[in-house]
Amino acid sequence: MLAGCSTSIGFKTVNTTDVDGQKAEMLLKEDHRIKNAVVLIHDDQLIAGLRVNTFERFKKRKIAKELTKELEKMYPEMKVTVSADSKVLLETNKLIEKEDEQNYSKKMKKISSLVKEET
Amino acid sequence: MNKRGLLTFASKPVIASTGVTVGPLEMKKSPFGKYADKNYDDERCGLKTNEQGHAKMMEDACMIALSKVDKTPADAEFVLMGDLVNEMTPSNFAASTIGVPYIGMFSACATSVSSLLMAALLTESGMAELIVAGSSSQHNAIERQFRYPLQYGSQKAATAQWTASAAGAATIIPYIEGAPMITCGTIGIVTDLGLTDPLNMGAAMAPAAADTFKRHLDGHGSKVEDYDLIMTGDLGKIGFELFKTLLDRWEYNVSKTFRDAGAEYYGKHPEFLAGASGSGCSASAYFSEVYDKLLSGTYKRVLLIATGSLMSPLSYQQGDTIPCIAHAVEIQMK
Amino acid sequence: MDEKKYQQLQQQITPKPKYVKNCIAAFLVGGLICLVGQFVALFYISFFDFTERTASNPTVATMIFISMLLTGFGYYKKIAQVGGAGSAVPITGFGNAMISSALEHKSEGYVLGVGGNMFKLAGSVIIYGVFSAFVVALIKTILVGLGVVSW
Repeated sequence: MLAGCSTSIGFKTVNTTDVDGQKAEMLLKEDHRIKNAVVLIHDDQLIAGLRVNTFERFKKRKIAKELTKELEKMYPEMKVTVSADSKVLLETNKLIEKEDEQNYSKKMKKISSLVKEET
Repeated sequence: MNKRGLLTFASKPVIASTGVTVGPLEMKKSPFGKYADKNYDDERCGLKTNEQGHAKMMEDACMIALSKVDKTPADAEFVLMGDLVNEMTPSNFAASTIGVPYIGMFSACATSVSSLLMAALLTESGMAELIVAGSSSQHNAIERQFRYPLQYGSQKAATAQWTASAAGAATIIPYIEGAPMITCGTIGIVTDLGLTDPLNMGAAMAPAAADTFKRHLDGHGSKVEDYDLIMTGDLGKIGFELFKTLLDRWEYNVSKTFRDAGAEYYGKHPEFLAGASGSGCSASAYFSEVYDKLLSGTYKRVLLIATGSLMSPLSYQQGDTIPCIAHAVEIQMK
Repeated sequence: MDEKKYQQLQQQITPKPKYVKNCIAAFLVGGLICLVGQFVALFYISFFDFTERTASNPTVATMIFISMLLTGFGYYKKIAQVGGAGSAVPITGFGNAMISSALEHKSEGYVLGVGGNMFKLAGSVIIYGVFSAFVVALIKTILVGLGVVSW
C-alpha cells in the first residue's frame, strides 16, 4: 500500500536489546513537533523514523539533527540514525511488522546508508 | 478634395474567378469552410514541412482560380501574391511552381486587397489581360514565426487571434459582363497609435481601418447606405468592436452591413478567442462567401477593407510600436 | 487621432484579464500537477530504494516524460490555456518549453534545428536560475562571513 505516511502508526518502539527503549520513546512522544515515530533498537543500532507535523516539515532536517544528538547522549554506545524522511519511517515500520529478527542488522544498515545518500 | 491614395478604375476590371483553399481545421470549424474550393486532410498538405504545405495551398488556389476560367498558368501574364513568412518564401515557391511573371506583395494581412488593387491597376493600364492575385497564410508556419512554438503552453488572452490556414486567389481580367467589377480603391496610410501588444493586433489595426474607411467614403463620395456590405479583414472581435466605436464617434451609421472576416472566421468556437488573423483569412473570406454572393446578386456593392499589422518579431521585441495599414477596395456587381 | 485618447478607448473595450479566475485555475491545475508528482515520488519511495530526498531525481524525470507525451500529442497547450502559471511553473512547464521548441525546429535538422533551438525558451530559465542561485549563495556567504547567520 502507498499508505506509508498515514497517521495510523502512532508511536512504536521495538527493542531487542537490554537497554531501556522507553527513554527514547518518551523523548519523541514529548516532542510536540512529531506526529508519528517508529523506533527500532537492535544490536548496537538505533533507528528512529519520524513524521513531523505538516508545518514543521520545513525544519525537519534540523529536528532530526537535534534528536540525533539527544539520542546519542542517551545511548552513547549505539549507532544512532534519526530521520524525518518518510522512507525511513516506512522501511522501519515494514521491518518491524515482518518480525524477522535475523534480517534486522542487515536491513538497518541499509536504511541508515540510504539516509546518508546524497541527492 | 485631397486625392491622395485614391484609385478609380474607369475601365472596370473584373474578378473573373476565384480559388480558395483551406486547412483541415478551417474546413471543420469555419463557416467559410463550406465555400472553399478545396480543403486538405493535413495541415502540411501531405508535404514535409509546414512551409511547403503553405506554398502548396497558395499554388492550388491559383490553379483553381485559373482553371475556372479555362486558363493555364501559361496564359496568365502576372501573378501578385504574398504571405507573412520571412521573405514570403511560400509565395515565392508557389510562383516558382506555376511559372508566371511574379511580384511579391507585402501588406501583411492586407495583402489580399493590395494585390487585388495592383492587379486592377495593371489591367487598367492595358498591360495585362489575365492576372492572378491572392494571399495566403498557414497557422503553423506563421505562429512559429511571430509567436511561440506551436505546442508551447502559454495562456493566451481574450484578445489573441488564431492565424488561419487558408489561401485565396482571384483572376482579374478587363471588363466583361456578369462579373464583379473593381470600381475603386483606397491605399491606406500607415497608422501607429503607439500600441505594442502583438497579442492584441486587432486594437492596433482598428484605427488604420477606420482611417482608410473615412478616406474612402470622403474621397469617392459614397455613404454607408450605398453598400450592401462593408467587411474588414482580420480585426477580430475586439478590434472590430473598436473599429465600430471609432466610426460611431465620427457619426457614421454603424449597422448590420458591417462585418469582420476575422471575428466571424471561426464561428462561435470559444477556443479561438478573438477570431482569426493572417493574410489568408481575409483572402479566403472575400474570395469565397463575398464573391459568391456578389455573383448571385445578393450583394450589389461591397467595400472590403483588409487590415495588416506591419511588425516583425524583432520589432516588437525591441519595444517598437505596431504600425498598421488598411487597404480598401470597392467591388460592384451589375 | 490622439494616441492617448485611443489607448484609453482601447483599454475600455479590451476585456480585462480575469485575475481571480486565472489565479484559482492556476492554483488548481498547478496543484493537480504537483499531486501527480507527489504520487510519483511516493511510488519511487515505496517500491525502490529512494528516500524522500533522493526520489526527487527520478520524479522530475518522470514528470518531464509525462509532459513530453502531453506536449507531443497536443494536450499540454490546452492544459496551459486553462492553467496559465499553474502549468508553466512546475517542471512540466519547463519540459514543455524545451520539447515544443525541439518539435518545432525538427524541420531544420537535428543539429542546427533541434540542437540549436531546444533551449530557445528554456534557456533563459536556466541562465537566470543559475544566476539567481549564484547571487543568493553570494549573499549567504557574506552573511556567514560576517557572522550574522550560520550555515
